[in-house]
Amino acid sequence: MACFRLLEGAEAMPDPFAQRYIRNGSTLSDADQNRLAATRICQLGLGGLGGTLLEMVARMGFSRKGQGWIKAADGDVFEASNLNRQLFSLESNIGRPKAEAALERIQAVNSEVDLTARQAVISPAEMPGFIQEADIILDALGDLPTKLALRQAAADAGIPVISAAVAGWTGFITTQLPTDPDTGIFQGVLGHSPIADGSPTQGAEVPLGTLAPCVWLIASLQCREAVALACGRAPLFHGCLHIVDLTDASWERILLPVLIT
Amino acid sequence: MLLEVKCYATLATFQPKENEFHLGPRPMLRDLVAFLGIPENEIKITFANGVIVGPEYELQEGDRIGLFPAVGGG
Repeated sequence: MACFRLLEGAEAMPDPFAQRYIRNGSTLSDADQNRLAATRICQLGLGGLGGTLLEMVARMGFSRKGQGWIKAADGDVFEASNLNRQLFSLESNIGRPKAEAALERIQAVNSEVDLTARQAVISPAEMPGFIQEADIILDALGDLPTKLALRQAAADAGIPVISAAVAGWTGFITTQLPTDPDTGIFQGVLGHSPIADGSPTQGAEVPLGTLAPCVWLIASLQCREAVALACGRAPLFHGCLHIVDLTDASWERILLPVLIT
Repeated sequence: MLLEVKCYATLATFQPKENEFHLGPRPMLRDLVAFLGIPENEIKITFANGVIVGPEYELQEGDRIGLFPAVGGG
C-alpha cells in the first residue's frame, strides 16, 4: 500500500522512506514498531558503545518525533584514538564534540528520530533531572563510578537501565530493573573486590584497550535489550551478568544471587 | 581436584595450563586464587558454575570457576 504525506502547498507526495522498517519483517509486529516509536530513551555516552548503540536504536525505529524521544549526552570531543572503534568519529571530525557529530549522523540516518544530544558530562547531582520521564536508560558510559551513580539514579526514579562495558576482547551486559531489591549489585560486582577490599584498581580496558568487534557486539546486545523492554517482553539480561569473550568465543551467563528468588 | 578455571581479560596471564589442582583439604575459592598467584584486589567477580560466589566458597570437584577483573571501557 502506498503511503503519502501532505506537503505544505503541494499535492500529496509518496513518502520515499515508507519502506524504512520493512526489513524489520515479522520479527517486529506493527504494534512492536509503534512501541519503539513511542519510547523515551536517555543515553549517557556517545563513544564506542554509545555511537554504535545510538545508530542502531535510530535505525530500528525508536523514538519517532511526536511520539517518543532520545536525550543523549557526552562531554567529550573526538580524538584520534577513538577512530579504531567509535562509529561517529572520522578523520575529519577530530576535536569536534561527540554530541554534535551524533546529532548530524542520526539526522542523516533517520530524520524521523527525535534526538537531543548535549555536549555535557552529567554529574551525579544532575542525573535525576536528566533521566526524568525516560522509559529506558542506556548506559554507554566509560567509567565505573559514573555508571554506579547512574544506576542509583535510575533505581530512585524507577527506570530500567541497560549497562555494559568492554576491555580487550571481553565485554559484559546486565540490565537493572526498578523492582530489583539491591541496586548495589553492580558495586558489589565491579566496584569492590569480593576477596580483598583493596584500593580501587584501574579497569582492564586501560592496558587491554577497547576493540571495535567487541564494542560493537556488546552495543548490539544493548540495543536488543532495549527492544525487549520497549515491546514489553521479558528482558534478556536481567538478574544476570552476561560475559562474552571473543578470545575463545565463550559466553557465560552468571546469575546474581541477590536476584535469585 | 579437577577444576575448569577461566581467568578473564587482564587475568589471562594467570590462566592455569592444567585442570588438576592440589589445594589441600576442603579448599576455598580464596585458596585457588592464592595458588594461581593472583593479587586479590585485581579480582572483581568470582563465579562458580554460573553463579556469583564469594572467597569463602568451598570448591567442589569439577567446578567451573571464573575470575573476572574490573572492566569499564566503552
